[in-house]
Amino acid sequence: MSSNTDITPVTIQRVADAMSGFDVQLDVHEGNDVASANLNGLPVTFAVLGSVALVRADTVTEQTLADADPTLYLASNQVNCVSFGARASVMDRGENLIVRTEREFSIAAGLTDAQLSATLRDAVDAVLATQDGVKVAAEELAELRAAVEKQLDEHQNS
Amino acid sequence: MGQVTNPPSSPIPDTPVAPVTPERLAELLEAEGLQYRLESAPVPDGEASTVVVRTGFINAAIAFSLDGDRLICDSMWRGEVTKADAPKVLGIVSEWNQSQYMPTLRFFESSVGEGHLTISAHRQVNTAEGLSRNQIGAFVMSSLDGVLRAYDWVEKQLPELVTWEDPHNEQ
Repeated sequence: MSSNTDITPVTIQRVADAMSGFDVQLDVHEGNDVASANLNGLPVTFAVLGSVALVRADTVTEQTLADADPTLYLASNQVNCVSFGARASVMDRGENLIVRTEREFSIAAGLTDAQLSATLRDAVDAVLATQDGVKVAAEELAELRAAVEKQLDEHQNS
Repeated sequence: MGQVTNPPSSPIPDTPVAPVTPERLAELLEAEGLQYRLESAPVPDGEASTVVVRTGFINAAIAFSLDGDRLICDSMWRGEVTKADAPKVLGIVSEWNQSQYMPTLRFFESSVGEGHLTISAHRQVNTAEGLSRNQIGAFVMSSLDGVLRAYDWVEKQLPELVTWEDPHNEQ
């Protein structure tokens, strides 16, 4: 049993234990250092990968790469410039575009229980807030574009 | 006499976790033989001044700063990008961010010249509970490595914007 001040290696079980301290039960996928939970209606993944660990949330959108619409990409960059504490990116390898928000943290030198809890709380909050940030930014960009297109139409018809 | 068995120890003995300060960051960079300078960052009247630790390489300006419960590694790439390149740059940062854990690549309008864009790499770590020396070391060194990897990749996509010569170029 480690005390709060011992710096020890981070495992997916320690991540799950720390999250249970916030009344969040993770589904630990034994053998591949990954765990998941549904938070605020979003699938959130926790993973331990060598020298880093990460928390990520995915939103599958209705858009595809073939739509050739840069809105989500621009919205992600906008959010990354103000930094909600997590990174936004658009995953476009699959059929539908996925808005992914992610926070990684270095575990190469180990973490205390208190550090792991504080880091996970910060990461989960940031990952969820960044999802909202991308949504709002994308809506604003879409509105802006609609307004400009309307103006151009009126100009052409006048 | 019985044999004494020692627990396996890290090659560098670590320190307990303690609050992160610009001085501790400077110490680490010093020990790694990297050039740096401490600089007071401008803040609005009435707020405590913050100290930024600046370092860099031929192609990147890098700053470590403390912001609330986070230690931030922020950086700017040296290349001068024009707004006409924005669609290409959007593709470059998006590709990096969907395939690499860190750092976060982003771009914004440059504060120096109108019509210019700055490409920036950014990373952070939570410091609410303090960090040990090895933890600071792991964050700083992996961040510097990540920033250089990111810009190396940017330079492969935008070779025409590399207007400087790298004195350490091995090729």
